[in-house]
Amino acid sequence: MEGFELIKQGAEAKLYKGIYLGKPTLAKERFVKEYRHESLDSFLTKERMKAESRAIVRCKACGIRTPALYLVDFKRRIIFMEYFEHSITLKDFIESCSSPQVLESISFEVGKMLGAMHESNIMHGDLTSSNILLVNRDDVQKFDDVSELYLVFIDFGLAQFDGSAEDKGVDLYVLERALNSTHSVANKIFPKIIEGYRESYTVGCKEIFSKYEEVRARGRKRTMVG
Amino acid sequence: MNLDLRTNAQLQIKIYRNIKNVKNLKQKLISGELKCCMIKPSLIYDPFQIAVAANKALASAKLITKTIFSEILFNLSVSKHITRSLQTFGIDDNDENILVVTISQNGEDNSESVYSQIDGEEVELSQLKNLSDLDNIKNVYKISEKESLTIPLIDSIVSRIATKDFLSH
Repeated sequence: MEGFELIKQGAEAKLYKGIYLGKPTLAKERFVKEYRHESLDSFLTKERMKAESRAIVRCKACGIRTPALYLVDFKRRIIFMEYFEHSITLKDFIESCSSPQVLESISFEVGKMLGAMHESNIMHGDLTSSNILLVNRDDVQKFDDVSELYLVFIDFGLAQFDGSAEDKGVDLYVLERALNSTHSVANKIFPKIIEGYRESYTVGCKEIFSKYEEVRARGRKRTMVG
Repeated sequence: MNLDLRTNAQLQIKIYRNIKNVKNLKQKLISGELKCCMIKPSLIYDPFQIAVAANKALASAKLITKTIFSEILFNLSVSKHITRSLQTFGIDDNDENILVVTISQNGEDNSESVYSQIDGEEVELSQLKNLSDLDNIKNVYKISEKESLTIPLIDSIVSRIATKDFLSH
C-alpha cells in the first residue's frame, strides 16, 4: 500500500490512511484468510464488500451520513473511502463530556438516525460507540460545541438488509451491551437513544421492542434446540 | 491530478465554451482520431466526479466498453445501459460547452494534439459551477430531496459511481 499508513488491524481487515485522488482516504483491506478455501474466501470477501458498500449508499439515501466511497476494488480486496480527519468517536466524546444535557441530546440524535436506518431496513450489525463519529463541520479539531458537529456512522462490515423485527431487536441489544460495557453513564444514554428511535421510527417499532425484550431475556443467539 | 498510483496515470480536465466545430469533434471521437473524452458540463458537479469515474476505469481489469474514454462516460452514469450512458454524458451536435478529459499514462501525453483541434475558447475550471445543472444532476443520479438535504451532493454522486457495477441505483 504505497503512500498509505497502517492505522488499525482488526480480525477481518487492515485499515490504512492516506491521500487518494487528492482526498484524505481510508483504505479498508480485507486480507486473505489462509484457513479458508481460496474460492470460498474470495466469494465471502466479495459479498461482504458489496454488503458494506450497499449499506453505506443506502444510508445516504435516507439522509444518514456515512463515508463517501471512492473505489471498490474486488481484486485487491480494498474499499477506498472518505477519511474524517477532524472527528472523534462517540466513545471518546461520551467519556470526555461533562454535560448531561449534551449527552442526552447527542444520544437522542443517535437514536433518531438509528430509527431511520432501521425503517429503511438497514441493520448495521456492529453498533458500538466506536462506530459512530462526531465530525466538525468546519474541518477543525474542535468538539466542544455540539451545534458544530454532525454524526457519521462507520464500519458497515456486518450490515444486513432482511429487515426482520428480530434482527432490529438484536441490533439494539448489541448496542445496549456495547454501551454498558464501555460507559459508566450508559444508563443515561441508552434510554435517550430509544426515545429518539421511537420518534423517527413510528410505524411498526412496537414489534421491534417486544423482540428486543425477548432478545434481552435470552441473549443475542436463538436457541437451536428442537 | 494523479490517479491511483498503480495506474501511473494523470488526468487533465479543461472546459471550452462557444465551440464552433462540435459536429466535427464528435465524428473524430467516434472514429477514434481524438484520444480524449468529451462530457456535457451540465451533468458534472465537481471535477472529482470525473476523477472517480476515470480512476475506476483505469483500475478495472477489463473494460466494458471499447475504449478507456467511453468507459469514463459509462462509469459516470449509474445506468448499466451502455448506449444510454454514452448519450446522456457524451456531447450532442448542438452542445456549445464541453468538458475535455485527457489521460497521460507512463509519461505519455498527447493532450495538446486534442486541444489544437477544438475551435472554441478555453475557460477556467472554476467556471464549471456556472454550467452544471443541479436539478438535472440529481435527476440523473436519482438523488432524492431527503438525501440532498443532509448529504453533500459530491458524496452521493461518487458513492453511486463507485458502486454502479453491483448496485442498482
